[in-house]
Amino acid sequence: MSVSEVLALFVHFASLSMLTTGGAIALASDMHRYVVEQHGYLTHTQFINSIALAQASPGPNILFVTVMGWQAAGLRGALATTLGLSLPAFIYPFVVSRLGRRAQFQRALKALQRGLGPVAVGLMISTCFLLAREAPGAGKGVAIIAASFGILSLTRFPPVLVILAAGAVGATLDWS
Amino acid sequence: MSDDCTKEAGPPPSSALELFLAFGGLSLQSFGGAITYIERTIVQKKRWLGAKEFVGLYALSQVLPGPTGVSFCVLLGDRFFGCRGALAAVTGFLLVPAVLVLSIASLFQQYQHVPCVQGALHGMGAASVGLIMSTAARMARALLGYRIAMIVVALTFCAVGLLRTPVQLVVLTLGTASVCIAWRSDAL
Repeated sequence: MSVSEVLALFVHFASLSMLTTGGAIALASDMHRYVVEQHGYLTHTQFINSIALAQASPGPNILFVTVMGWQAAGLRGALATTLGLSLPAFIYPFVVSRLGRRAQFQRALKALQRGLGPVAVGLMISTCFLLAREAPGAGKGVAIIAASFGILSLTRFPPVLVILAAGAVGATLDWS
Repeated sequence: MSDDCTKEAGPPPSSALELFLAFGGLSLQSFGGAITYIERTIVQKKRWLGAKEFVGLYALSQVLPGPTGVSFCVLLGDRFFGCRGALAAVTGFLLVPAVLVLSIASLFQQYQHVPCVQGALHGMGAASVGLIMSTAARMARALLGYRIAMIVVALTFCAVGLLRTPVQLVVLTLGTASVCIAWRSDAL
Protein backbone atom coordinates (compact mmCIF):
# COMPACT_ATOMS: atom_id res chain seq x y z
CA MET A 1 0.00 0.00 0.00
CA SER A 2 1.33 3.44 -0.93
CA VAL A 3 1.45 6.35 1.51
CA SER A 4 -1.50 8.04 -0.17
CA GLU A 5 -3.55 4.84 0.14
CA VAL A 6 -2.72 4.62 3.86
CA LEU A 7 -3.77 8.27 4.25
CA ALA A 8 -7.01 7.59 2.39
CA LEU A 9 -7.67 4.64 4.73
CA PHE A 10 -7.13 6.94 7.73
CA VAL A 11 -9.49 9.56 6.31
CA HIS A 12 -12.13 6.97 5.50
CA PHE A 13 -12.13 5.50 9.01
CA ALA A 14 -12.07 8.96 10.59
CA SER A 15 -15.01 10.16 8.51
CA LEU A 16 -17.04 7.06 9.41
CA SER A 17 -16.35 7.45 13.10
CA MET A 18 -16.88 11.24 13.09
CA LEU A 19 -20.54 10.88 12.13
CA THR A 20 -21.85 7.92 14.08
CA THR A 21 -22.51 6.80 17.62
CA GLY A 22 -23.19 3.30 18.85
CA GLY A 23 -19.94 1.43 18.49
CA ALA A 24 -17.32 0.64 15.89
CA ILE A 25 -18.74 -2.77 15.03
CA ALA A 26 -21.82 -1.04 13.57
CA LEU A 27 -19.47 0.45 10.98
CA ALA A 28 -18.06 -2.93 9.94
CA SER A 29 -20.41 -3.22 6.98
CA ASP A 30 -19.10 0.03 5.49
CA MET A 31 -15.49 -0.90 6.34
CA HIS A 32 -16.06 -4.14 4.46
CA ARG A 33 -17.35 -2.23 1.45
CA TYR A 34 -14.21 -0.05 1.41
CA VAL A 35 -11.48 -2.49 2.46
CA VAL A 36 -12.69 -5.75 0.88
CA GLU A 37 -15.11 -4.94 -1.94
CA GLN A 38 -13.72 -1.67 -3.31
CA HIS A 39 -9.96 -1.88 -2.76
CA GLY A 40 -9.26 -5.55 -2.06
CA TYR A 41 -6.80 -4.78 0.77
CA LEU A 42 -8.17 -7.78 2.66
CA THR A 43 -10.04 -10.94 1.72
CA HIS A 44 -13.43 -11.58 3.28
CA THR A 45 -11.90 -14.31 5.46
CA GLN A 46 -9.17 -11.97 6.73
CA PHE A 47 -11.85 -9.41 7.53
CA ILE A 48 -13.87 -11.88 9.63
CA ASN A 49 -10.68 -13.22 11.26
CA SER A 50 -9.82 -9.69 12.44
CA ILE A 51 -13.16 -9.44 14.23
CA ALA A 52 -12.87 -12.94 15.70
CA LEU A 53 -9.33 -12.43 17.04
CA ALA A 54 -10.15 -9.07 18.60
CA GLN A 55 -13.28 -10.44 20.29
CA ALA A 56 -11.35 -13.39 21.70
CA SER A 57 -8.50 -11.22 23.08
CA PRO A 58 -8.67 -8.83 26.03
CA GLY A 59 -9.02 -5.12 25.35
CA PRO A 60 -11.64 -2.85 23.83
CA ASN A 61 -13.57 -4.29 20.88
CA ILE A 62 -12.42 -1.50 18.56
CA LEU A 63 -9.06 -3.28 18.30
CA PHE A 64 -10.57 -5.30 15.44
CA VAL A 65 -9.76 -2.30 13.23
CA THR A 66 -6.15 -2.46 14.46
CA VAL A 67 -5.88 -6.08 13.33
CA MET A 68 -7.59 -5.16 10.07
CA GLY A 69 -5.15 -2.34 9.32
CA TRP A 70 -2.19 -4.46 10.32
CA GLN A 71 -3.24 -7.27 7.97
CA ALA A 72 -3.71 -4.75 5.16
CA ALA A 73 -0.50 -2.74 5.51
CA GLY A 74 1.49 -3.66 8.61
CA LEU A 75 2.21 -1.12 11.32
CA ARG A 76 1.22 1.97 9.35
CA GLY A 77 -2.04 0.31 8.37
CA ALA A 78 -2.77 -0.47 12.02
CA LEU A 79 -2.02 3.14 12.96
CA ALA A 80 -4.17 4.48 10.12
CA THR A 81 -7.29 2.51 11.07
CA THR A 82 -6.91 2.81 14.85
CA LEU A 83 -6.09 6.53 14.93
CA GLY A 84 -8.69 7.24 12.24
CA LEU A 85 -11.41 5.57 14.25
CA SER A 86 -10.27 7.25 17.48
CA LEU A 87 -9.85 10.75 16.03
CA PRO A 88 -13.35 12.01 16.95
CA ALA A 89 -12.70 10.98 20.56
CA PHE A 90 -9.89 13.55 20.58
CA ILE A 91 -12.09 16.33 19.22
CA TYR A 92 -15.62 16.14 20.63
CA PRO A 93 -14.80 15.73 24.35
CA PHE A 94 -12.63 18.86 24.26
CA VAL A 95 -15.34 20.83 22.47
CA VAL A 96 -17.94 19.64 24.95
CA SER A 97 -15.97 20.41 28.08
CA ARG A 98 -15.22 23.92 26.73
CA LEU A 99 -18.84 24.60 25.73
CA GLY A 100 -19.92 23.76 29.25
CA ARG A 101 -23.37 23.05 30.52
CA ARG A 102 -25.54 25.44 28.56
CA ALA A 103 -29.15 24.23 28.48
CA GLN A 104 -29.43 24.53 24.70
CA PHE A 105 -26.33 22.41 24.35
CA GLN A 106 -27.65 19.70 26.65
CA ARG A 107 -30.79 19.58 24.56
CA ALA A 108 -28.74 19.22 21.39
CA LEU A 109 -26.82 16.29 22.90
CA LYS A 110 -30.09 14.59 23.81
CA ALA A 111 -31.45 15.07 20.28
CA LEU A 112 -28.19 13.70 18.90
CA GLN A 113 -28.48 10.60 21.05
CA ARG A 114 -32.14 9.95 20.26
CA GLY A 115 -31.76 10.76 16.58
CA LEU A 116 -28.62 8.74 15.88
CA GLY A 117 -29.64 5.76 18.04
CA PRO A 118 -31.94 4.23 15.40
CA VAL A 119 -29.30 4.82 12.70
CA ALA A 120 -26.80 2.87 14.81
CA VAL A 121 -29.26 0.00 15.16
CA GLY A 122 -29.80 -0.05 11.38
CA LEU A 123 -26.02 -0.15 10.88
CA MET A 124 -25.65 -3.02 13.37
CA ILE A 125 -28.30 -5.02 11.50
CA SER A 126 -26.48 -4.30 8.21
CA THR A 127 -23.26 -5.65 9.73
CA CYS A 128 -25.02 -8.82 10.92
CA PHE A 129 -26.62 -9.30 7.52
CA LEU A 130 -23.29 -8.97 5.72
CA LEU A 131 -21.37 -11.28 8.05
CA ALA A 132 -24.07 -13.96 8.32
CA ARG A 133 -24.71 -14.06 4.57
CA GLU A 134 -21.16 -15.16 3.87
CA ALA A 135 -20.80 -17.62 6.74
CA PRO A 136 -18.36 -20.41 5.82
CA GLY A 137 -18.73 -24.18 5.74
CA ALA A 138 -22.11 -24.87 4.12
CA GLY A 139 -24.39 -24.64 7.12
CA LYS A 140 -21.74 -25.21 9.81
CA GLY A 141 -21.02 -21.49 10.16
CA VAL A 142 -24.73 -20.68 10.27
CA ALA A 143 -25.25 -23.36 12.93
CA ILE A 144 -22.52 -21.86 15.16
CA ILE A 145 -23.90 -18.35 14.61
CA ALA A 146 -27.38 -19.48 15.62
CA ALA A 147 -26.14 -21.42 18.64
CA SER A 148 -24.00 -18.59 19.99
CA PHE A 149 -26.75 -16.04 19.32
CA GLY A 150 -29.16 -18.20 21.31
CA ILE A 151 -26.76 -18.73 24.22
CA LEU A 152 -25.76 -15.06 24.42
CA SER A 153 -29.33 -13.76 24.14
CA LEU A 154 -30.90 -16.14 26.64
CA THR A 155 -28.15 -16.63 29.25
CA ARG A 156 -25.58 -14.42 30.95
CA PHE A 157 -22.71 -16.59 29.79
CA PRO A 158 -19.49 -14.53 29.26
CA PRO A 159 -19.12 -13.87 25.49
CA VAL A 160 -15.41 -14.66 25.42
CA LEU A 161 -16.04 -18.21 26.68
CA VAL A 162 -18.64 -18.77 23.96
CA ILE A 163 -16.17 -17.56 21.33
CA LEU A 164 -13.35 -19.76 22.64
CA ALA A 165 -15.67 -22.78 22.82
CA ALA A 166 -16.75 -22.13 19.24
CA GLY A 167 -13.06 -22.01 18.30
CA ALA A 168 -12.52 -25.43 19.89
CA VAL A 169 -15.56 -26.83 18.07
CA GLY A 170 -14.42 -25.23 14.81
CA ALA A 171 -10.97 -26.80 15.07
CA THR A 172 -12.50 -30.27 15.04
CA LEU A 173 -14.87 -29.67 12.11
CA ASP A 174 -14.17 -30.21 8.42
CA TRP A 175 -14.91 -26.84 6.78
CA SER A 176 -14.10 -27.66 3.14
CA MET B 1 -26.14 -1.11 45.13
CA SER B 2 -27.43 1.85 47.19
CA ASP B 3 -24.05 1.83 48.85
CA ASP B 4 -22.39 2.33 45.44
CA CYS B 5 -24.55 5.32 44.57
CA THR B 6 -23.40 7.32 47.55
CA LYS B 7 -19.76 6.55 46.89
CA GLU B 8 -17.73 9.76 46.88
CA ALA B 9 -14.52 10.43 45.00
CA GLY B 10 -11.18 10.16 46.80
CA PRO B 11 -7.92 11.96 45.94
CA PRO B 12 -7.10 12.40 42.21
CA PRO B 13 -4.35 10.37 40.48
CA SER B 14 -0.87 11.53 41.39
CA SER B 15 0.55 11.55 37.86
CA ALA B 16 -0.21 10.90 34.19
CA LEU B 17 1.86 7.74 34.52
CA GLU B 18 -0.59 6.42 37.11
CA LEU B 19 -3.43 7.06 34.64
CA PHE B 20 -1.54 5.22 31.92
CA LEU B 21 -0.92 2.21 34.16
CA ALA B 22 -4.50 2.11 35.45
CA PHE B 23 -6.01 2.16 31.95
CA GLY B 24 -3.45 -0.32 30.62
CA GLY B 25 -4.25 -2.69 33.48
CA LEU B 26 -8.02 -2.48 33.17
CA SER B 27 -7.86 -2.79 29.41
CA LEU B 28 -5.93 -6.06 29.67
CA GLN B 29 -8.63 -7.50 31.91
CA SER B 30 -11.57 -6.48 29.80
CA PHE B 31 -13.30 -9.06 27.66
CA GLY B 32 -16.42 -8.12 25.74
CA GLY B 33 -16.87 -4.44 26.49
CA ALA B 34 -14.67 -2.40 28.79
CA ILE B 35 -17.39 -0.61 30.80
CA THR B 36 -17.46 -3.04 33.75
CA TYR B 37 -13.71 -2.91 34.13
CA ILE B 38 -13.53 0.86 33.77
CA GLU B 39 -16.13 1.28 36.52
CA ARG B 40 -14.44 -1.23 38.78
CA THR B 41 -11.03 0.44 38.47
CA ILE B 42 -11.94 4.13 38.31
CA VAL B 43 -14.79 4.20 40.85
CA GLN B 44 -14.31 1.27 43.19
CA LYS B 45 -10.55 0.70 43.33
CA LYS B 46 -8.95 4.09 42.60
CA ARG B 47 -11.93 6.26 43.59
CA TRP B 48 -10.96 8.96 41.10
CA LEU B 49 -14.65 9.56 40.38
CA GLY B 50 -17.78 9.28 42.51
CA ALA B 51 -20.39 6.81 41.27
CA LYS B 52 -22.68 9.59 40.04
CA GLU B 53 -19.92 11.51 38.27
CA PHE B 54 -18.88 8.29 36.58
CA VAL B 55 -22.38 7.68 35.19
CA GLY B 56 -22.54 11.25 33.86
CA LEU B 57 -19.14 11.11 32.22
CA TYR B 58 -19.78 7.68 30.75
CA ALA B 59 -23.16 8.70 29.35
CA LEU B 60 -21.51 11.69 27.70
CA SER B 61 -18.87 9.53 26.06
CA GLN B 62 -21.63 7.27 24.75
CA VAL B 63 -23.54 10.16 23.18
CA LEU B 64 -20.52 11.67 21.46
CA PRO B 65 -19.53 10.20 18.09
CA GLY B 66 -16.40 8.05 18.20
CA PRO B 67 -15.51 4.98 20.27
CA THR B 68 -17.03 5.22 23.75
CA GLY B 69 -14.07 3.85 25.69
CA VAL B 70 -11.59 6.19 24.02
CA SER B 71 -13.86 9.21 24.54
CA PHE B 72 -14.11 8.31 28.22
CA CYS B 73 -10.30 8.11 28.51
CA VAL B 74 -10.00 11.58 26.96
CA LEU B 75 -12.69 13.10 29.20
CA LEU B 76 -11.18 11.64 32.37
CA GLY B 77 -7.54 12.25 31.47
CA ASP B 78 -8.30 15.83 30.42
CA ARG B 79 -10.07 16.49 33.72
CA PHE B 80 -6.96 15.65 35.75
CA PHE B 81 -3.95 16.53 33.59
CA GLY B 82 -5.26 18.25 30.45
CA CYS B 83 -4.03 16.98 27.08
CA ARG B 84 -1.18 15.08 28.70
CA GLY B 85 -3.62 13.13 30.87
CA ALA B 86 -5.90 12.39 27.93
CA LEU B 87 -2.98 11.04 25.94
CA ALA B 88 -1.73 8.93 28.85
CA ALA B 89 -5.13 7.34 29.44
CA VAL B 90 -5.77 6.61 25.75
CA THR B 91 -2.29 5.17 25.22
CA GLY B 92 -2.70 2.83 28.17
CA PHE B 93 -6.18 1.83 27.06
CA LEU B 94 -5.27 1.09 23.42
CA LEU B 95 -1.55 0.44 23.08
CA VAL B 96 -1.11 -2.24 25.71
CA PRO B 97 -3.87 -4.60 24.47
CA ALA B 98 -3.07 -3.73 20.83
CA VAL B 99 0.41 -5.19 21.21
CA LEU B 100 -1.13 -8.34 22.68
CA VAL B 101 -3.83 -8.77 20.04
CA LEU B 102 -1.35 -8.19 17.20
CA SER B 103 0.98 -10.83 18.68
CA ILE B 104 -1.90 -13.31 18.80
CA ALA B 105 -2.93 -12.37 15.27
CA SER B 106 0.58 -12.88 13.89
CA LEU B 107 0.79 -16.25 15.62
CA PHE B 108 -2.46 -17.30 13.98
CA GLN B 109 -1.30 -15.97 10.65
CA GLN B 110 1.84 -18.10 10.81
CA TYR B 111 -0.18 -21.26 11.26
CA GLN B 112 -3.19 -20.37 9.16
CA HIS B 113 -2.45 -23.06 6.57
CA VAL B 114 -2.93 -25.72 9.28
CA PRO B 115 -6.55 -26.91 8.81
CA CYS B 116 -7.49 -26.98 12.49
CA VAL B 117 -6.20 -23.40 13.03
CA GLN B 118 -8.30 -22.17 10.10
CA GLY B 119 -11.19 -24.19 11.51
CA ALA B 120 -10.79 -22.59 14.93
CA LEU B 121 -10.83 -19.14 13.30
CA HIS B 122 -13.99 -20.04 11.34
CA GLY B 123 -15.64 -21.16 14.57
CA MET B 124 -14.58 -18.03 16.50
CA GLY B 125 -15.66 -15.82 13.61
CA ALA B 126 -19.11 -17.41 13.52
CA ALA B 127 -19.52 -17.01 17.29
CA SER B 128 -18.48 -13.34 16.98
CA VAL B 129 -21.29 -12.86 14.47
CA GLY B 130 -23.70 -14.45 16.96
CA LEU B 131 -22.42 -12.04 19.63
CA ILE B 132 -22.88 -9.01 17.37
CA MET B 133 -26.40 -10.22 16.54
CA SER B 134 -27.34 -10.52 20.21
CA THR B 135 -26.08 -6.96 20.81
CA ALA B 136 -28.05 -5.71 17.80
CA ALA B 137 -31.18 -7.49 19.04
CA ARG B 138 -30.83 -5.90 22.49
CA MET B 139 -30.37 -2.43 20.95
CA ALA B 140 -33.34 -2.95 18.61
CA ARG B 141 -35.62 -4.10 21.42
CA ALA B 142 -35.18 -0.74 23.16
CA LEU B 143 -36.72 0.99 20.12
CA LEU B 144 -39.80 -1.24 19.79
CA GLY B 145 -42.98 0.84 19.83
CA TYR B 146 -41.32 4.05 18.61
CA ARG B 147 -42.68 4.24 15.08
CA ILE B 148 -40.35 6.90 13.67
CA ALA B 149 -37.30 5.19 15.16
CA MET B 150 -38.33 1.87 13.60
CA ILE B 151 -38.71 3.54 10.20
CA VAL B 152 -35.21 5.04 10.53
CA VAL B 153 -33.81 1.60 11.44
CA ALA B 154 -35.46 0.03 8.38
CA LEU B 155 -34.34 2.80 6.01
CA THR B 156 -30.76 2.64 7.33
CA PHE B 157 -30.67 -1.12 6.81
CA CYS B 158 -32.06 -0.84 3.26
CA ALA B 159 -29.56 1.88 2.35
CA VAL B 160 -26.42 0.39 3.95
CA GLY B 161 -27.14 -3.34 4.23
CA LEU B 162 -28.95 -3.90 0.95
CA LEU B 163 -27.95 -1.04 -1.38
CA ARG B 164 -24.38 -0.64 0.02
CA THR B 165 -24.69 3.16 0.20
CA PRO B 166 -21.73 4.82 1.99
CA VAL B 167 -22.51 5.35 5.67
CA GLN B 168 -21.40 8.99 5.58
CA LEU B 169 -24.09 9.80 2.99
CA VAL B 170 -26.78 7.99 4.96
CA VAL B 171 -25.92 9.76 8.23
CA LEU B 172 -25.77 13.19 6.60
CA THR B 173 -29.25 12.77 5.07
CA LEU B 174 -31.29 10.30 7.11
CA GLY B 175 -29.33 10.87 10.34
CA THR B 176 -29.73 14.63 10.11
CA ALA B 177 -33.47 14.26 9.52
CA SER B 178 -33.75 11.88 12.48
CA VAL B 179 -31.85 14.25 14.80
CA CYS B 180 -34.05 17.17 13.67
CA ILE B 181 -37.19 15.18 14.46
CA ALA B 182 -35.79 14.28 17.88
CA TRP B 183 -34.90 17.94 18.51
CA ARG B 184 -38.39 19.16 17.60
CA SER B 185 -40.31 16.48 19.46
CA ASP B 186 -38.21 17.33 22.51
CA ALA B 187 -39.29 20.96 22.27
CA LEU B 188 -43.00 20.18 22.29
